Amino acid sequence: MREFTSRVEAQRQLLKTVNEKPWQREQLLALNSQAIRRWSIANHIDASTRLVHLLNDASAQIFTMANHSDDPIAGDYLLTKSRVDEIQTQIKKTLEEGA
Amino acid sequence: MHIYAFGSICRGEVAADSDIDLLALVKGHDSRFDQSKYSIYSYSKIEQMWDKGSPFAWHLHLESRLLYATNNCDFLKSLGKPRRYLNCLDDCRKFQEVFEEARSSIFRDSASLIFDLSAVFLSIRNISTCFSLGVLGQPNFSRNAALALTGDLALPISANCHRTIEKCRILCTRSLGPAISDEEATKAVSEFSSIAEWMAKLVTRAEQHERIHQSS
Repeated sequence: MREFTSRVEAQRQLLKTVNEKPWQREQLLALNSQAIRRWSIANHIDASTRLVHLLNDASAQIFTMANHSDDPIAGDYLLTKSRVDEIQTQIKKTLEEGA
Repeated sequence: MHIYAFGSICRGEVAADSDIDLLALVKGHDSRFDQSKYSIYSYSKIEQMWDKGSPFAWHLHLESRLLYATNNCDFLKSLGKPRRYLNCLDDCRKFQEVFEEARSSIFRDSASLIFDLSAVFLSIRNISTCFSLGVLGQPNFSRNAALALTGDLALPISANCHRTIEKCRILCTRSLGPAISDEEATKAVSEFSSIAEWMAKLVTRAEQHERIHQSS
């Protein structure tokens, strides 16, 4: 039960990190590939930037969490959660550096 | 490999903003399937869901159609009926928690506003689906499952509020539609206390149902 809410919370925290910065046209609305594409086009952000790569990486990790969250063995889930935390730190740093 | 269609298209519900839900059953990783277009599961995961009697297993059992099978066998049909759904109370509490966390997040700041409104829609729909399956015994898997509850269980929010949070859900999951205005969002949020009371009522009913079930 906790894993599902943790997954939602992980996405929320990543979105808050990205949207702390006032974007030109539209906030990032979700962490799937379509949402990342919509946000980068709306704000004229090149898809090849480090920030977009990190967001796509986070998106893939959260999808992995989605696939593992109901499994009886929690090891894979925890491993992925720590990777998401790591990506969030990198996103924060990239934004601070002026991405 | 098996490919199924499920959801609204199998119920004959077609709308301009409907998507087509596709399920892929695979052995191990299969890079041919785009995760944004398919719900991808392993056979063992599906068997576990059947064994738990999860709402998704019942959804597939009742509302899926085989499109393709490499071995000409309908895997889901071969599993028979899923086990009885016994996790209704926990699931209702889980979606109540999803709602409360989204509500708290919105009151903290607006940096994830649309995502939070989308989570509210998800929580309303899913608690209704779990309740309809576990308590009422009349499962409703549609996007508008909450609107099908009637009498004292009816969702006490305006059609505008429901439409706004539904638009947020479509924006977040499919990136379709225009941005939501601040006014629309503020009006929707003003109805959250009614949603909280309604959810508490569903959880209380689910608790009563579980007590009766355990004592019989």
